[in-house]
Amino acid sequence: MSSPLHWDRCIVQKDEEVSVFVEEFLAQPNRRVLLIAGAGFDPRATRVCELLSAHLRERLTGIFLREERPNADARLRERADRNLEKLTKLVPTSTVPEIQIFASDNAVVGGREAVKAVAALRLDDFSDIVLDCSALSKGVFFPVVRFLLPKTQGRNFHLFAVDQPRLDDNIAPVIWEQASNVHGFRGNLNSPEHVAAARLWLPQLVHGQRVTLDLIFQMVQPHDVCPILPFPASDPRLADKLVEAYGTEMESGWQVDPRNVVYADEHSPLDVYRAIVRIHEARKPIFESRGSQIILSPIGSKILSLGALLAALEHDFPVIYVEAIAYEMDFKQMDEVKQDKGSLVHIWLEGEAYVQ
Amino acid sequence: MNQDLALSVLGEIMAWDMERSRKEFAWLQLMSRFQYDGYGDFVAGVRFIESLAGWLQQFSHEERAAAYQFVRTQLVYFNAAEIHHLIESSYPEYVRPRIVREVAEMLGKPHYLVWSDPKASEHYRRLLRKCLFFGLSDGARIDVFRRSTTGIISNEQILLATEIAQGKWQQLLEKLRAALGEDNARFKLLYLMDDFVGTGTTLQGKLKRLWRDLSKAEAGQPSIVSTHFEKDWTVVVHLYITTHDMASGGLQEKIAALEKEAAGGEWFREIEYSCQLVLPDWIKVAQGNAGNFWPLIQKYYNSGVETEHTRKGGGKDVRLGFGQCALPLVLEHNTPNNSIPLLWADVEPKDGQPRMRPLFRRRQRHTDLA
Amino acid sequence: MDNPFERRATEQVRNEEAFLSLVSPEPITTYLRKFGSTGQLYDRLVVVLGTPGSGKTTMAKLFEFPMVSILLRNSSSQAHRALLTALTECGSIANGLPTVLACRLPLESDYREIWELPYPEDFKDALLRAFVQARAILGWFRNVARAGVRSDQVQILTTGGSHAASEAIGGLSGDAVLQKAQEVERAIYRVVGALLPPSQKELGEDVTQAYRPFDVIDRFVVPFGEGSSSVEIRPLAVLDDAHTLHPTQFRNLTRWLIKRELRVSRWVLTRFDVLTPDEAIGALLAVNGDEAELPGVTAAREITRVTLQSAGDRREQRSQFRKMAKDMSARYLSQMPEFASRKLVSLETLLIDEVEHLTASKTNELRKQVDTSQKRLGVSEERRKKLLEDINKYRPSSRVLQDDERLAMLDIAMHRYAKRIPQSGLFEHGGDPEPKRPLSIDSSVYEAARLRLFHSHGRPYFFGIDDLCDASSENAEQFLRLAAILVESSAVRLIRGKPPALRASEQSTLLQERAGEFLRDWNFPHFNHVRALVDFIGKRCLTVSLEPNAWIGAGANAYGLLQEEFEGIGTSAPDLLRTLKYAVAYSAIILVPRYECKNRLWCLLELGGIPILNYGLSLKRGGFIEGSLEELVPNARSNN
Repeated sequence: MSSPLHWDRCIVQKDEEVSVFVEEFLAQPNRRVLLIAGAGFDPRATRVCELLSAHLRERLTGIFLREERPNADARLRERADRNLEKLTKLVPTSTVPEIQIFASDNAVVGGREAVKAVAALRLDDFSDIVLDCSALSKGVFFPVVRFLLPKTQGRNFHLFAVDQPRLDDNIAPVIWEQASNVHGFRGNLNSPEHVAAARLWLPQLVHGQRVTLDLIFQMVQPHDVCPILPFPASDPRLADKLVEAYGTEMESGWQVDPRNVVYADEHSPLDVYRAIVRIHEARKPIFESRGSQIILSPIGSKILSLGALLAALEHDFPVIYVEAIAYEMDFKQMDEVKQDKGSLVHIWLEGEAYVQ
Repeated sequence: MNQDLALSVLGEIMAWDMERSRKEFAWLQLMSRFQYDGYGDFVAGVRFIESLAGWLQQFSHEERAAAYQFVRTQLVYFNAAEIHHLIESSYPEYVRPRIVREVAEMLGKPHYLVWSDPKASEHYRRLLRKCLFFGLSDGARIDVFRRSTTGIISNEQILLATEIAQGKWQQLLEKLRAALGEDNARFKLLYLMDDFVGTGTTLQGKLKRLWRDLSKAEAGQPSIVSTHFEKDWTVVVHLYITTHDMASGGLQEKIAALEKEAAGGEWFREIEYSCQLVLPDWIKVAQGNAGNFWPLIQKYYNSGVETEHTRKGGGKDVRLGFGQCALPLVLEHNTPNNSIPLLWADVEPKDGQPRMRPLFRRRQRHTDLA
Repeated sequence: MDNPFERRATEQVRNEEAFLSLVSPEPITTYLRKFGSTGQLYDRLVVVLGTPGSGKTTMAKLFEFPMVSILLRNSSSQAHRALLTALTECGSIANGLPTVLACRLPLESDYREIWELPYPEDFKDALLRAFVQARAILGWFRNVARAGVRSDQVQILTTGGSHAASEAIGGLSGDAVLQKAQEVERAIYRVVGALLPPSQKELGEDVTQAYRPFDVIDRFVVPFGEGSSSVEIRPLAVLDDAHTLHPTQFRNLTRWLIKRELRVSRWVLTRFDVLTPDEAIGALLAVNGDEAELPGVTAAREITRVTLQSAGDRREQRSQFRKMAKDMSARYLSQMPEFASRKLVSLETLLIDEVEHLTASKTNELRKQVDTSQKRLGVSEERRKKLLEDINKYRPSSRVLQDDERLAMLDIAMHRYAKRIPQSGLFEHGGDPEPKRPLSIDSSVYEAARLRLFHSHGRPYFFGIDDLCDASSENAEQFLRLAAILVESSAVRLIRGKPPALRASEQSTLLQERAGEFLRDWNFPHFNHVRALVDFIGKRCLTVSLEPNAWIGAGANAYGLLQEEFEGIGTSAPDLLRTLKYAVAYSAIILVPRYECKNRLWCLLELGGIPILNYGLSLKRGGFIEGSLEELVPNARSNN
């Protein structure tokens, strides 16, 4: 990894290109594909599986992680059950490990549990590993990616996601009471040796997460805050609206210098990845003596969080978030939004696409 | 002016009560700091809040609320950092994938397997070197593009289109051949970058002018097209910002029209285009969404805004901006004339028509007056 | 506008000077002083219980060594003198020298994660203890370093245990002890952070060896003050947010920390719900300082228990909080140039405490309504005059009543009168009978009238510094957030060239607005059930409070369950108990147990300041609706 942007030339495809890719490449007769996906209530849970199974049939094996949270809403559970049924029908050779997100005392253990489940897998039989994070929460898929990445030598490792920010807006998390690092993404945050390091926090702003951001801010206690705003975005005023929504934080709580706002394309995972790494590289020489820590909080859209994931993997940044203990869905809105399909995104993380 | 003083004036002219003042002052302080105070035309002492206070006073007391509401909820303002971000992402998000596609074709591979070929990097490097990147206007900020591609694209590939002397062309070719160690190397892709296209009319003019410069063969000297570019060369127009109409066929039409005009005669072999940020259709200012601001747009209009150039855009007047684009768009370095003139026009009263005071004054460019 | 009231208090922690300028000594004086003078804060385990935002962390930070050093260095500053006095009274300073070396260890997820490692329980406990001790040592050394002392200048005095024991912690020199602690910490940190933890046999010696510095260390000797003088100080480890540990971890940790053989001082700061819900409530029900039980520990004398926001003397608490809040707001205001430059640093003066009366036309409207009541109730003119006479004798805060209040009180009085005479009374006897019980016109009638005027005629209800304080539920963060909107409005008045003081109507509207925002922003586990519960109680209280005869007095703001019914809640209504746990944690509800009224014992679910503001209820304590679990349970549940 000589250049600091390991994934700068990463293959990223969208929509039609993805379908062509699946048909032409993944469906090749010699390939055996392992699909790791979420069996959740999210309407996006089945789309990638449908596409893959249509072309791969019995060459597709499935691991459908079922995220379990305490006292889940019956309606959400029902939707999850229906999605699971669809998934297992599409992929008969599949297993459904249950991932408890919370321990009995409500400590967050989902990341650990997910890694344990995935660690038990035999990867040797597969030529391609596909992780579909459309219906998986960050606390689960981030550690899974981190765990699988070094293990995919000689194999292809793909990330798939359905990009539909409007749907994300309709799923509101009920947050847990405490911020914590995503499992495996602690960096040097709590290490006493790095207590003096200059902390720069890059929260991804999204509507309706004031309390989440506040909890994270209190935990991280950054020296500086560089909020990440989605620009360009489908709504050209979205960045401004977010500044307005978090006006008090921008002015008083976090005291953000306007020059410290970071923009990232709402629909491009690599754009935010580059932006973050660029900042990191620029700061390194300045804080050489006392150390510089960049802390990420990718609480917004899935696509932007994928970019943050790449940056965190490459440079071992701490990722701090607040786990959701439950979800509230606007069911009516949800069914409306479902009509507009959203974009399918493929990121080819490692494998044949790159010279070995 | 002391910001508090300006706020106070605003509070008075808007006749806000204390509670409303509290909410609006908070918004004004926030947004002027994060966005509007950076507007290129503002000077010390007269920035956004002062300008707003001046702008609002051209309206009657009853009209002011609608005008303020428009600014509050419909204005689309892109600051320098946002525009720079577009420019900085243009290479990795648009240029590179385009070149990768060519390399893929060359290697006979699908684009997603290009990098699996150890020869690909070299092919890519060479093809990239055969690209030229011209900024079509100041707004294209070709300097930002240059800085963001340091170490990737050579200085000898990035220029401002309006400032290329003949001698420079020669230098470009020499440097290309030296860099590639190829005596007969020529350019393959000519990127034309511009910040904003609203109707394509101005763009057409630029393309024609460029063609004129590239194709002229005088005093025995062959044309640049014939000496500098490969047979199957392509022009790619890349726009950082454009409208929905343009991106969904308008641009295509405008380009096709030029080809038709050339009528079989000499013209660019091939013109592609890519659009980075496409303004959605629904942001256009219309009677249905502008509320009580719509009548103000009608009322506060002075034909002094019109020029030769604006008349080219069509329509009987430019109440809705050049080309009737009806945009509420302001860019930090200047406001496009496709935006509602009530936002940017600075016109003295004449023939009984009202004065037009700007909120974000537009610096007239020579193309407006031509 | 950069409004310091909107900043989080913890944000100041990096800059000690700033922190000290904003922190008030009141909480220390209120809660710790009584223990500090007797040494009970340092010679045994101290457990501090508080709700989020109760200031326990801020309080703990004040004891940290760098803070104390700065205070001692600048002891002449007036702001610092109060803090110094408080700390001295708590025994952490004596004769101008520090006696305690404190470091605060926030027990964040790393510690809890140890419980998830695939090792046997006692091994995990040992890991936790080693981790805590290693981090404590690192914390102590880091804190003295911040005060300019190098590790090689630190001397360790031991408890005189075995040589082997001191060897195990690295030796006795500061450098060696620090280095050993670093090694142990790093090793355990790696295991905790690993994506997939190593199996037990793969663990290195750094992790598996016995590491017990708390058994060995007695005192530190560090240079302090002029020249070569040094001071002997006892180390204090403050384990903050201990509720994040797994309950078994917490129990085992506490059992270990209780041991009297440990010479280092240790405090454990926790939220109420560290215990199981029953026990959490048990903790609340026990009065401060009592020999109350801690789970699994019999010798309760071994613990000093401090409960912030306890069910103790609430009036005293309220007055203490008011003092602290005023102090705090003065410090914050002096950070705002628009106020400081005009010497406006008293929040009190910015909040006009004068009552705003109804306009003449509204008063006339009211008069007509009262006339109608009179007719309907059949109250005679003489009786009306007599009631008015009594009313006029009442002087709220020694001022004379105005028409609007007088009329509203009269309305209440008439309704009360009507209830106190025999049913057939007025119309049959056609006279003016005496009431069965004499009618007294006291503050409850006045307050009830005020509430009425608020809801029916929009007369401002919440205003003045005391109301602001009382609406804060004795929570510093809540106070700051409520005050923020008032301060911002005051600043806006200054911008508009007006006098900065806010009138009662402005304050009342703003406070209600802010409270509404808070409620809407709520996001924590079960917040929708909490909201349903609060909504039910709030609306019921309002209905009852606005009864025409105001039988409940100043107004209700609580829902009462019989004490014995409440005590059974764990078995009879576990869901409600869980909802209550969060309601209490987030100051939506305050539990007031063993409240005696009409010869019965009640447990009151008193609404917090935010719901009170939101529903427009009285801030005065004591008025409650008698209720039951049967009624409450179905209403304390959200349907979405």
